[in-house]
Amino acid sequence: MLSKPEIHTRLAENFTGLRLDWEQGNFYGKKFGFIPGTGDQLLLTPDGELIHSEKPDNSGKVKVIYGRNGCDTTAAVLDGVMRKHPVKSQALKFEWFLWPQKPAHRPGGRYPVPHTAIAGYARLPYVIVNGSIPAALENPDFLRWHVRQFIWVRGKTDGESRLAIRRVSDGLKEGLPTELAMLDPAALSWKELGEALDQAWLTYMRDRPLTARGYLENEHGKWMRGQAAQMITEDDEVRFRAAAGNLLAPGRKAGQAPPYAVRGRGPVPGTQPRNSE
Amino acid sequence: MKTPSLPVASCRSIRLLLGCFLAVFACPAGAADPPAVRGADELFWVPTLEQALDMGKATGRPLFLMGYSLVPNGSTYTKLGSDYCTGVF
Repeated sequence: MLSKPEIHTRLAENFTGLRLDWEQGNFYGKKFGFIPGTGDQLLLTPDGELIHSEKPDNSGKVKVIYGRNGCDTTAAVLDGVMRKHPVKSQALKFEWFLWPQKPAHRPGGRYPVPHTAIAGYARLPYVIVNGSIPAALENPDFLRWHVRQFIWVRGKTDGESRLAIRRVSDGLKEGLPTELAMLDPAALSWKELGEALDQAWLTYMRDRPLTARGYLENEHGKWMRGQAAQMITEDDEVRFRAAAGNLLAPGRKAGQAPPYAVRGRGPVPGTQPRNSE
Repeated sequence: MKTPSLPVASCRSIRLLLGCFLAVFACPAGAADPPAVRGADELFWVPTLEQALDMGKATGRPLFLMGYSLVPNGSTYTKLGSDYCTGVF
């Protein structure tokens, strides 16, 4: 579903996405009336109310669960939601993407899953933000260009500002280091910082772990075999294009310049202390 | 002996055919943009419902939630190689 352009484009431009693990699903069990299962998709209003399907499913019931266990999440379904809830602002805040750890209902439980777990699941590098948060990360243009490349987590709040970019061990080829880059935002212009983030992301994508294909071969995963060829092709293409240096990060089109660089945002080079000097 | 020249119409036809040939074989379909990452990567995923509602309040964006699970290697979702991840749908 998510690899269909007409679906993921609509979701990217008009919705906020949330991957719900069991612990968080259990935490909100009373709100939803159930704990969403693996593969269940829900649509909520901006205020958090469940959106019921406009058409009943094959059993004749109006449902709140979309996806393979419910009503198809089609472009028409998303268009209907978008008509009732159009985007009113392109604001982006870094705090919306910082990965927290909160106490769950289950004793000792926490939600969401640890940042290393979601980084392994989503197959993304993660960034530990130490010290003060760089001004670039509080700029919507900069975030739009870079925030989807990584999982972001807060590290030490005191001390010097540093961005530690890392891989998780899951799916890591032997010999590859977990550290991708250590950046000093104060020493870099926004353009330089953005280029460094892109370089770290491309380095990760060259050896991006492959989709858990064991599921496809398993009896339980046979329902996904129709998409198997696409999944395998995408995995190979990501690695190939990352190695060639022309893999596009999320939200970008070929030939586009970073919006913050075009408008000359960020500190003037030479006015900040640089690592090379 | 004077070499006969091709009629003008034939020259134009040849250029047209050459142009079509180049268009078909030199510019494969979809070459305008190289492929991007997987579709799921395009979304603005946030970690918690609280953050999603905060973003919804500020932007008007509705929410798309998807249940997922993480299981260890060796169960239903066996890793086929060292560079396969264990996370599943």
